[in-house]
Amino acid sequence: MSGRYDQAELLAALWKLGAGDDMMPTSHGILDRALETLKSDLPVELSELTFSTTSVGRRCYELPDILLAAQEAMLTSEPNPTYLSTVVTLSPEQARELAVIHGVGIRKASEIGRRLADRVVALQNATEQRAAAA
Amino acid sequence: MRPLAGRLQGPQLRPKQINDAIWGSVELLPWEVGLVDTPLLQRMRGVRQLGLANLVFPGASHDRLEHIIGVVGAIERMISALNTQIDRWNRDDRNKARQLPPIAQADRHRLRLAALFHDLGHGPFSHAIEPVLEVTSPLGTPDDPAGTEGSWRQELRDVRSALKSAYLLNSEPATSEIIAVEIVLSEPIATAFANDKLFSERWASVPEMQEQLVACIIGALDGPGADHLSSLISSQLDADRLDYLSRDSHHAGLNIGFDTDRLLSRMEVLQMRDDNTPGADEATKERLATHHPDPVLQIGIAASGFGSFEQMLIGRTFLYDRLYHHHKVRAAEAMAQRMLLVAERDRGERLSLAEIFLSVGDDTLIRLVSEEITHPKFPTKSVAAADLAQALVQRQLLHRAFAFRARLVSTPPGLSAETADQIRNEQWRRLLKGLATLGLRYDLGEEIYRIATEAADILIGQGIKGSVPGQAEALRHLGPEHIIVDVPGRKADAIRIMARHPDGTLKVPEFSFNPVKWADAYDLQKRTGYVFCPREVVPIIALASGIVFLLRFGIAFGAGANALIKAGETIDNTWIETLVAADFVDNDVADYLQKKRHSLLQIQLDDLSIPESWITEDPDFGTELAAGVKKWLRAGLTADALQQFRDVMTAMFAFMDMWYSGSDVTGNVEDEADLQGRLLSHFRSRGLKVEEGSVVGGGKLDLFVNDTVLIENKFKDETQELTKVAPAAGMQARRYAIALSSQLILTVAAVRVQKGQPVPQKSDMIEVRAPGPETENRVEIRFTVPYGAVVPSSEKAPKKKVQK
Repeated sequence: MSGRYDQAELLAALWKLGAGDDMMPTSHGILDRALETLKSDLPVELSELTFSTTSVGRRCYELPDILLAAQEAMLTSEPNPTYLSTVVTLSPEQARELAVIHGVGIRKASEIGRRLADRVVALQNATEQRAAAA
Repeated sequence: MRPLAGRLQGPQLRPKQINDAIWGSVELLPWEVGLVDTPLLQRMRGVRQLGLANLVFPGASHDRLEHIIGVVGAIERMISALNTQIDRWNRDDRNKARQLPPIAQADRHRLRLAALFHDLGHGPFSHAIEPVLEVTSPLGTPDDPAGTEGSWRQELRDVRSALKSAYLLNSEPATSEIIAVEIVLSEPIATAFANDKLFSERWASVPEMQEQLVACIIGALDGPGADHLSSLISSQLDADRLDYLSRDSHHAGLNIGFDTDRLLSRMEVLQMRDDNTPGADEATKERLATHHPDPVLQIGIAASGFGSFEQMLIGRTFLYDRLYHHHKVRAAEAMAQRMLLVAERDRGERLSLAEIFLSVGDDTLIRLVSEEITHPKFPTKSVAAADLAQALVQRQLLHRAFAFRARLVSTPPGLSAETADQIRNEQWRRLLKGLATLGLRYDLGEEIYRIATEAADILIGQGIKGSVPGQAEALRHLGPEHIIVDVPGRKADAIRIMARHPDGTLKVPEFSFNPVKWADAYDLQKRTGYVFCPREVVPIIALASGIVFLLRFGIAFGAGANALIKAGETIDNTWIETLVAADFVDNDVADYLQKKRHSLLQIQLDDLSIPESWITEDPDFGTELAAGVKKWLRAGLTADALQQFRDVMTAMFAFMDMWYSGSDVTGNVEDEADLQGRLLSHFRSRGLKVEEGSVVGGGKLDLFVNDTVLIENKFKDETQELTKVAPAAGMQARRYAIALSSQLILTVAAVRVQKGQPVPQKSDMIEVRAPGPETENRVEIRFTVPYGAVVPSSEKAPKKKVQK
């Protein structure tokens, strides 16, 4: 099992390469579910993530710790005032470098990151639509 | 549990009323009295709830047994509050189909029993022992998760995995919960539960009781023995948390202010249905569908109680800041962890679970390690561990010699705010990764000790007096075990309860603000790492820490870091000057520690001056090269050295391009001198300063460029693997590099291409290596230049005359 900082580095790098400056969601299980749908395509350090249906919906057991590690390691920064999403602080070059360090080619990392970001947007839209319809 | 069987032969057990500091009078039922008065529960009397915090907050001496009884009290309040809410709901809601069942006596009994058992998995010093339980390898050896195969650590992992498979959970079971589960499922517990004299009114069979307890301890939502009430023992809003937050602040004398009454009155049994959960995800919808037409019951909170819920989450953060992470509490707990790990290391055998869970109190365990007393089941023979234990017994806690915090990483002047942030973030990230485990932190402490000891000896040798001889003597007596690098941590949290809104809908309550994330941000802004050591060696350890953090991580901390410790101004500048004069540290180190006080610069992709055509040929090449260089040159370079490095790399890539674009690939290289001559003339033609043949470090250096970069040349007439020639060239150059205080070695190897072998791509001819130990902050970049390639007949060879 990879260390939490390694997992945080890789997640932040994938997000930066795929979503650019968009903020990464940290609440409501959006990122959890996006990761689960891509699980089989994720790099090895994130492929062992485990998921469960919790009191508040589908969640990844390890993600809170990974997100905390990302924040500890200054890979992300919490913006005021909602704390519902986070800014990935990596520069594009730092993100590329982290992807390479973790054994993922830049093209592959960008592709996974883009799919992750697309999935997040789709999940956010679906959640909003469900809430609006109710 | 044997004493219980004996006791049950005697007079019938009677209930007892216990006076509790938080909940007032707590009544223990007869079977609870029987269980509490067993060695299993009485062990918890000696396990302090807050580890060694009582050494700093004298009132915080409460133990786990007190907390356990408090959780029984808290459970009663929760049941009472929920039954009130259930009555109100059933009265107000006329739809009989939505009536809620009251919490029955059987539920009450199993929750109370679970309260008694929920914390039995805590070892000595409570949470302070957890990092020790998670250490995969003995102290001083590399972390090796595979090394736990067949051990109790592996067994715990297996049980965790099995629990995750068998239950729906809000979070992974903690180590202490898994141990409690193993206790619950053990044969002695089954035997005790089967005794009808203990449970004269039985609410479930023994296996069912065990399942119920397991479900409560891990806070299961679904699975064997689980229902909506299981979360009252373990969840984000549970009796455990209600008790310990109030109890810890009360005993520590800290007025944090939790609105427990409001929180209890706003707790609800939520009825989750498809029509009242807008925004629920597919997994929740599926879960609801499997129960349809019944609702899924779940403990939650009314929106009007969310303020007090936030108050609880945020108040907990203040407890971390003021109590759990108080620097002296951390020093004491770090000493206890180190004491156990050193005892384990020195006896050459890992601690067994039975030894860690020896039925003695925390104080007794410390005295066992100190060898004041002995126990046949806990053999120790470690002078170093005994010293640490004695220090704890006498409250000779370690002091802060060096402080480090992300925001205090000092960046070079003249940078834009954005660039400075990038540098600070990257250096902090690398530092944190370098200190991620107890083993890594021990290694760093050992290095600080070594540097401090050598520095003290040099200072004495150079005639420095004052406190130095005393510190040197103290260091010799202490050993590296007393130097502790500590980084505080805490378990990640996330919102795991639902809230009922005024319109009746149930939603995740982080609608406008996530208090958990706020708490993380607050905590991390204030979180500070320390190097702890005994008071008498603080100045020399402070100096050594500064040197080690700069040389290993390239990090210097601003004056703000001094304000966090008392040792900041105790370092005498004459010490550093003396160490420079004795060649122990170089002028750059002295300059950065004394005057500049900012961090070194990390190599970035742009610093490698890679021509665009190379990136076009291989898009990953530059990033891979930069990552490779940083891996070994992890502390970075001074601004001056970085500029020289850029110039040399620009010239070196131009050399490679010329080599490949001209006739050199197909031409001949006579020998090493020939190669060296070509390099020399190339560098000089680009205006670089090149020294040739300098005698340093007991040998003759090939080239030294811009007073910064060493060039070592190699020549091989024929080989199969082009990039594998002269593998020790970097090691050889390292000798010179050490003598010249240089961190940059370029080896250039000319290798004849074998007949029939294709000429490799340029980017495949560059490789990054560590010429010595990886902690050395020195890198070797190897350029292999092929020659003598045979041009296929279909291609036209360059017209340049082949050199003989």
